[in-house]
Amino acid sequence: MEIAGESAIKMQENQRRMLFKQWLTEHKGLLFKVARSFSREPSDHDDLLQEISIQLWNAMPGFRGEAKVSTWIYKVALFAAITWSRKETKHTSTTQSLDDADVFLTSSEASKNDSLNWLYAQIRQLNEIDRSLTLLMLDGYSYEEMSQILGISQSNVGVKISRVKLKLASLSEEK
Amino acid sequence: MEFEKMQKIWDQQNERTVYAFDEEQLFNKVVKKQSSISKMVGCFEWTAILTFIGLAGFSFIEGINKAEYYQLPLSLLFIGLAVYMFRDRHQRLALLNSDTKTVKASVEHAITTLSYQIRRQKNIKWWFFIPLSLVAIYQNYFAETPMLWKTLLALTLMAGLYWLTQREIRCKFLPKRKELESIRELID
Repeated sequence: MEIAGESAIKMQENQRRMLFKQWLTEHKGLLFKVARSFSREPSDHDDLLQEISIQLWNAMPGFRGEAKVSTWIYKVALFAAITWSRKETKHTSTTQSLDDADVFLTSSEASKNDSLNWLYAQIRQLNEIDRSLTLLMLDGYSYEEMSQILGISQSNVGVKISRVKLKLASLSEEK
Repeated sequence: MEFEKMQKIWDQQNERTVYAFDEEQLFNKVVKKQSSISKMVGCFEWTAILTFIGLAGFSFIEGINKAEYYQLPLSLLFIGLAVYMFRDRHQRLALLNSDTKTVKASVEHAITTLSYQIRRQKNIKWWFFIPLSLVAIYQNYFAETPMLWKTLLALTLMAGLYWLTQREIRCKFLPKRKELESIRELID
């Protein structure tokens, strides 16, 4: 359930914790999709999920309630993921023991869905902005909303979306 | 594959839970880590501000009582540093409470913040190291028993710190800014 208009300015610590926990629960699907789209390995998913959550926590005092919570969280998550992905080559996740890693992902059902895995693999081949647009498009956001989240004009969104669809179609044909 | 088929694959995530993550554990980790960082930074800032104010007071009183008037500029310098740290803290908190409405604005904001940090650290010699070095030399000159080795040690330490701050700019801040600028180009 959306908590539209909830302003986080000058919120008390307890209130902030409650709201943060609520947002993590209500929007975990969104966070999971972004994490999976911007990282390859399961341990990288955890790393990125944590990074997004940290950015979300730090950004909360600045939330003015002018946008929908889900839109605002998408913006924060995409920004965190885009900047994180630039450092992705520095992560040597394959050598890290799972005993040491913080493992937040608890379900392995995602890994059993081959068509979904394939789709995420195609999405990961796009550049960061096209990836963001793809996520927003697949999640049913309008051009106007995408424009508001990313900060580009609607016409620019339209042009990029056309290119993304062509790119995805050609990637699927290669497969 | 047509886009509509991809949409159907994607929508499977909404029909049933194909993912799960332990949000409780994530929540605990993030809140614990970020709260402690926030408290630590705040504590450091206030400790630095109060220390500079204390040192300013001490230098002033000592200077007046012992007629060591060379202590008075030092007192002013410490007051200046306390004011600078206080302003810096205020700016940091303002940054925390600011909201950027779009991903592009967040990238621009990050570039601006980083540029400010780079500029400040590049100029650190003017507003911190050189004034402190001059004070160290000045104090040694006017001290009853000048100790050159102490002054040289202080100058060497400051030179070392200055080198480290410049290295941080080269190895960390400039590459990070370059990354953000390339992201901005991608968005445009």
